[in-house]
Amino acid sequence: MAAHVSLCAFLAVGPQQQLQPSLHIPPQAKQGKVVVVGVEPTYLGLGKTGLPVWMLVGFGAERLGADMNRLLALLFHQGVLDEQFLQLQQLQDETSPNFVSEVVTIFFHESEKLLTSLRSLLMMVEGDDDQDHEGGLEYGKIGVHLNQFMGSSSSIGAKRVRNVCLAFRAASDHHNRHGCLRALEQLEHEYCYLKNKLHEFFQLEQQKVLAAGVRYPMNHYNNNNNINS
Amino acid sequence: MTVEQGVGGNQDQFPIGMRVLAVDDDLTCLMVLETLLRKCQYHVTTTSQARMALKILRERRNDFDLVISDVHMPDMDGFHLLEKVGLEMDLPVIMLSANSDPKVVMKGITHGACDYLLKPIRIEELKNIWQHVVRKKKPDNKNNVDKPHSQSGEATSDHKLNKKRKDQNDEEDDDPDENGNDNDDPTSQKKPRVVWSVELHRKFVSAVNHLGIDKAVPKKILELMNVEKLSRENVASHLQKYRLYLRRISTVANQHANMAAALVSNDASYLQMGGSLTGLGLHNIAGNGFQNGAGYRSVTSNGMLGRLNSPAGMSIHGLPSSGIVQVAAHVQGGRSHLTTNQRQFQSAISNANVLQGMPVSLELNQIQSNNKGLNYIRQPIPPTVETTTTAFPPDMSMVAGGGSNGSFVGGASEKPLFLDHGRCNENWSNAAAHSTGSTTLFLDHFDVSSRSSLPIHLQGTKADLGCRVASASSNGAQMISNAPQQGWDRLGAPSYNHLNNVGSSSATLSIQDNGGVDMTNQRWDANNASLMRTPSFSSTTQSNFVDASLVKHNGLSVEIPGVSIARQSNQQHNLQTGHSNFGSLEDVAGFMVTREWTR
Repeated sequence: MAAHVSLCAFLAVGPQQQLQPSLHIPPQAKQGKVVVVGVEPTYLGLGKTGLPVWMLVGFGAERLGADMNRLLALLFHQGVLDEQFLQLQQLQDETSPNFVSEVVTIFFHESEKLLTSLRSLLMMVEGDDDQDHEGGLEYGKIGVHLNQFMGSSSSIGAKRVRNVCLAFRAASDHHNRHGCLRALEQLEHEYCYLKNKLHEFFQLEQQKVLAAGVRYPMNHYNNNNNINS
Repeated sequence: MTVEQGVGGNQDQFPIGMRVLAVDDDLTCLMVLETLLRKCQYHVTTTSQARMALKILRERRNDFDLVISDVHMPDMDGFHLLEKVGLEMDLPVIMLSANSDPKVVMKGITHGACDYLLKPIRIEELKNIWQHVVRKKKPDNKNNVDKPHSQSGEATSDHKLNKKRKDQNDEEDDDPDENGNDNDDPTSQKKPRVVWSVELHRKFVSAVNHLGIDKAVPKKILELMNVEKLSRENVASHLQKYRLYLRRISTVANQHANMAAALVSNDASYLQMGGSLTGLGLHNIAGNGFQNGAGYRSVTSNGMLGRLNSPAGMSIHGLPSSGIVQVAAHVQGGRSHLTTNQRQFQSAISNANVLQGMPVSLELNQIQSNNKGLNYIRQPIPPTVETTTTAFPPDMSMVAGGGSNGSFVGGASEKPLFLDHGRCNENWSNAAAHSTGSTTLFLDHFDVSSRSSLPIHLQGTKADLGCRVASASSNGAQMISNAPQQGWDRLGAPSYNHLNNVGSSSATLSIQDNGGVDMTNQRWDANNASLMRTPSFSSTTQSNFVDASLVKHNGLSVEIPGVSIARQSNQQHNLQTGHSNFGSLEDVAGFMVTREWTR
């Protein structure tokens, strides 16, 4: 139940995914993804491998898990995430099963506010050095926002975002409007990329949970899913 | 926000169950922190607002062992919260920030943080924070580790001194709520823990004020406070914290507003101010002042404000006066009564005339305009007048007019402030040339006191001048010069400046006005009034100050209309009231200083 609910909740929150009755199943995992209620007919039954669903069900969770790990590995490799994210994952346990996704959701929410403020502040700064005084005020606020952004991004392990914030802050300290603009764009880009990837990650996680639940209908998941295995 | 109380439960297994309050405006970090702390098996309460945190702490003082707070928060600075928690609740506070700038870290330490952590926080770091709790408790009670929690979760014993001082732990808990648990275990404690409640802290502050921040020693404070179960070490550590706090306040408050607060809160600022007076040369002040009375005034006023904490500013003020005094001294040559005045002047130094200095100078200017004789007032004093010095200096310089620097002081001021006498003479002649009203400013200030003693220098230049003015100014100058001697403990310096101004201005006046001492006096009144309003002199405040003193002091009828002794709040020394007899110079100085800065 909890898993199911959280999945829906998560999907509802995520801007990019529409809630579909069936799980979004990455193509490569198609084989293992059946059996969840509401799954599209094509995923039911044999799937491409021809194996019976019940056999495949067992692999679903693993496959999803593998996908998740691959995704994470990619993100680590790209420097998008760092070990702080792993720490967060370790904090997730039975008492707080959705900790990471909750934190990341809060992060997204706050970050979007910050990005909006940053953009509007930069727009307010006059293009050039003529109004240094006014610029100073805006740059100061930009610095404050950036400080917060750095804190939150580093707390969840968003390494690249944090690094761009650093560069942004340096530009703002020097009242370099052009540099700030570029940094802001880069920041928005990094942020979007991170957000997409994390969404993907969480979806995988949800699918995995459901798949695992499906696999063992007799365990605590069984009341969540009406899956008949 | 989740609220959890650490009652019973794991308290015997400290650090498990340690109760932490986490404050951070960043919700992401707050959530991560909370989860990390829970993972360490602490009891966590979170809030994203510093004010709420303080409220919680005040209400449930005994419910927390440790506070973790972010540095940059929108509603209240993290350091500010840190200080408050330290002073009020004595809990250990750990600062948190994404900023690893050493300056910020240093600031955290000087504000008394137990530790400074950088974001992102790792759980390993959090696993160790309980040491700060124990460290605070340790000297008090070795049993604290188990004890605090066992005390029905009151954990009063868990309150640790916030600051890093090692001897902090011995403070006694004066607060009945806090006391209970501590006292239950007297045998195991070397000293009961002290929590500095508001009343206790108030007593402490009043004791310190009574003694004077410089002379406040724990032993005496302890005696004055007369509180049971308070040990000298407790007081010592609290005093240390308090001094740091004051220093921080005074450095931060380079504006008059802060200054006012500092003045109220304590002497530290005063002391600082008093110190540097002597240093500056009157010359500086005088020079600038004359040039442009108005301009000077404004310049000085800015300087004053900026100089709130810096003695330099004060000394500058003082300088002009010294110059004047010196001039007066020269003047003295001929006049016997000047001498007398001079003496009077000296005696008057301690009175509130310091403030008057400024107005006096103004008046002098005015008077001068009437009197061709002494144009020196107008003339900018060659010696450098520091524009930064604030309103006072300008006046002073004006008054000193040209040559006041050296001769004015005459007997009164030993201060280095005085410029060479010779110069003064020159100045005087120059001053005579001027005929601006800049001197008026001086006159006002000098007013009462200066009048009497002014003549000294005046005499020198204009033999016939009613020395009253001169004597008045010289009085002022002398006052000023004497002021330093008197040990400025508060705003001493500023008053010094004022005095100088006063003296010089009055001196000038008298000189110019041969027969017009009275006139000058009158002028002074007028000038005073106008002077009082002079913006540069933080007029109202100073006027107030001066006014009272003036009136009382010499019995001169100088009334400073503008003066409304309104600003008393910050003035611990109510010069007007308390020093009708021109109490201590320091008071006057302090008052004046306050005034100026509080503009």
